Amino acid sequence: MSLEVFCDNEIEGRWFKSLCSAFSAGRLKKISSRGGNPIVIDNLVAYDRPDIILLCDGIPVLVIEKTREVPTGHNVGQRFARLVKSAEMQVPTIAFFPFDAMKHGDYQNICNLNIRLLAAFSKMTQIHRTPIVAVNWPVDAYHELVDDGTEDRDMAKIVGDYTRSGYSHDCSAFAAQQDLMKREYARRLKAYPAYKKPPKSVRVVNTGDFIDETRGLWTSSNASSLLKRGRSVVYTISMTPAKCRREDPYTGTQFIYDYLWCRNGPKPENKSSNLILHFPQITSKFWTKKNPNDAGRKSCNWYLTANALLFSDAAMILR
Amino acid sequence: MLSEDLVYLGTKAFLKAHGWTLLAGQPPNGCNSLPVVEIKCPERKGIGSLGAYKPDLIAARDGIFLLVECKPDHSVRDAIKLADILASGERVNLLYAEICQRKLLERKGIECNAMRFSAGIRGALAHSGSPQRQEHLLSIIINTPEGEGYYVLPSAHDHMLSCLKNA
Repeated sequence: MSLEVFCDNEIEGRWFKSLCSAFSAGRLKKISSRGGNPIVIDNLVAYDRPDIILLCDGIPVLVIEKTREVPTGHNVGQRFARLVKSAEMQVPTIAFFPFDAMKHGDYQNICNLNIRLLAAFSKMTQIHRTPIVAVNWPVDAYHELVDDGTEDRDMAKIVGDYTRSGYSHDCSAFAAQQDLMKREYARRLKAYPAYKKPPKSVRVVNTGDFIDETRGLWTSSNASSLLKRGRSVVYTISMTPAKCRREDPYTGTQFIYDYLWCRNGPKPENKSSNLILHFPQITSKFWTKKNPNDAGRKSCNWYLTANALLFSDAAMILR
Repeated sequence: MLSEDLVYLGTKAFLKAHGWTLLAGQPPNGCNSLPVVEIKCPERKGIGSLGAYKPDLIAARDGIFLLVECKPDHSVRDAIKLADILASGERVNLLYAEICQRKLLERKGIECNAMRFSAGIRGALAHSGSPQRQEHLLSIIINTPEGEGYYVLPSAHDHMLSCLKNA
């Protein structure tokens, strides 16, 4: 059995290898830019680069994303797109991050996980029939991240169990982690019931009513394409022209909303509701200049899953 | 010569093996277990990190607080950057405040007030190139990612650093 650990950098690669003795013989390789990797790796990094990709005999068996940041508030989607690709390719995925931790600086406070992320992971797992799990980076009594080595205990347990199971998607550690995520979601939802509903930037609307409300921006063929679905989820992104050449966190967040309120199958076309990205301050011409659908640029992520992009002057139907 | 990632890993291992307590750090890429400390630019107001300084490593031992910059080879730019930080009382005070806010000393059982912190702060350049003795900065030459290496003490006498011995 030949193991290869593709990593974004050597520090995280060596950390991953330290999690399980079975990985010690694994060859460490750096993930190169798109086009410079084995095809299977290039496919997995098509949306964005995860930290770790484990290949067993050339087949991807695990993707890991590790961060010290709590995915909170608006930034919840920051790293999401890179995990979507692994789910689409049915590669089990672990996101390792603190669920609650101290944020420092002028506005020091404890940050809590935005639980829409847990709900989205659960929906992705169900749709792609592949475990996508979140693992908590523990904190100490001061809400500071534990850094004495014990922080990796749960990760090592899950990765070890998965490896010993022969990389079975149904291994007991994944099942146990999914149960824990469900309990966390329920517990936190009880404390913050608003998280069950979409955030202020998202409206769930009747498609016909929305087209009426924004008439003048749709051609009749555009409108009829959208009217195939009676309900639409409109995600309003208030970027200004001066700051619209960017993806994070919006392109990741669009996937969270897509999985939570639109998707019913593994392909972006499989939706019960349209997903419309609305940019009220940007014209279509300016947008296309700044964020072209170019596979060589990360801006192509804007075109991956929405049904339509709606600008201040026109609409663009994507699917 | 080692890559920056490997010099970083080697420096962490070297410092641990030589009795230092690692307090904070920011790897050149990705993330690791150490807390990240950022010294904001005193002139900058509002959000954002423009002009901020994030040491690659901060380590403590025997009253010395070492700011370490890691590069594959000796870096004149890093030497200037460290000298600038160490010469600015305001930035050293901001660093102490950041460290206290994160309870980094408390968590490691180290007692130190602002005055002793200022007196004990030093800079180090860690790299895997040829040794280049600095006037005031410590150099740490890293030979392997596992932490084999040695100190090169500054040419100017420094009673705190002079206690450091190569194994």
